[in-house]
Amino acid sequence: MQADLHNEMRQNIDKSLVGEASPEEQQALRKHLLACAACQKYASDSRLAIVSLNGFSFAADPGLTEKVHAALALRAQQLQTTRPNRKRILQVSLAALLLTIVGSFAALHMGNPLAAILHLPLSQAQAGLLTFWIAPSWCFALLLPVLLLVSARSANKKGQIL
Amino acid sequence: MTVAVTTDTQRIARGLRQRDVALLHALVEQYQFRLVRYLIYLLGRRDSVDDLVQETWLHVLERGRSYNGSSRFEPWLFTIARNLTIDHLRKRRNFSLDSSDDPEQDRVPPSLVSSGPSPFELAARTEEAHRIAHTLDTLEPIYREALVLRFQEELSLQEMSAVIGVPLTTVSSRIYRGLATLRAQMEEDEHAS
Repeated sequence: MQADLHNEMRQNIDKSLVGEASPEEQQALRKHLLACAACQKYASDSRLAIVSLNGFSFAADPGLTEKVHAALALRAQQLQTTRPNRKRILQVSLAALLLTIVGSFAALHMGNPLAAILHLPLSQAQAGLLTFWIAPSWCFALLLPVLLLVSARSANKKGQIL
Repeated sequence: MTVAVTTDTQRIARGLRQRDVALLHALVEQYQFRLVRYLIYLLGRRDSVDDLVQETWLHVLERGRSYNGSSRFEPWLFTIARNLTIDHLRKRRNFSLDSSDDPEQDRVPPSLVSSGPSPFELAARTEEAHRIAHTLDTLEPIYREALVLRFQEELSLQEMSAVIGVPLTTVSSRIYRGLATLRAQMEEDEHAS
């Protein structure tokens, strides 16, 4: 019975040190500690164990800190230079998409006047628009985002190698 | 006080979103020592720590946008360091999560055995620290980690649970077990002397 009480109080000591003891448990513990030398020792040993953890000095190497600063500066610079490229690629990609739309519109609605000006049948004028305008601009619009992805991946790999 | 802390974390989150290098340099100065200490406790040795520290800060720069400033910066930093450490150990030792039978050892593998004095023996600067250095060296990393996060870094149990990725009850039991091991060692030393 008495042993159970000591065990319970020791659990309360642990809980108290970890910050899990309720106000009731803390109060019961305070009361018990006033009269129990064995549990007092348990509590003081526990506190000493925790305090001992402060007795280590893991000095960070100043050379390491310098190295980290340099690596961060370099990586930030790399990220800065890759960012405008991405923006430019996206802009060109959007422009190519716009060209595709305009080309498609021209093929549909301006095919007849164009065929008349060039003295060609309508189907040939439309085929020409498709081959020399719509298809290339569509390829550009699709290819550039892929390039963007590839360049972002290679930039990430470079960063990991640092 | 809470408002000040919130403002500080939001300032950090804003700086990380903008990839503010000056802020990063300041964070390195402020947290480097604690990051090194956490990694030593986690690994139980000094080698690889430098590489992991550098890798952690580069991740902070690259993935800084994922920190939203709603919680303290330290747990987020330690989570990155922990994940990188686990990846590093997996690569070095072909470590697999499935290889452990003990559910308590769910994420961090035990330290690699190394010859020579341990980082704890080298770093001990008080008599008590010398007495527990060997115990810390032989203690499972998950218990060392629990001790350093709770009593050195003063993380709350909730923050620890988020860093380690285990339930609160597991966090508590790891702290209790770590403490019990240290206490037993101190008692043993006392009897020996």
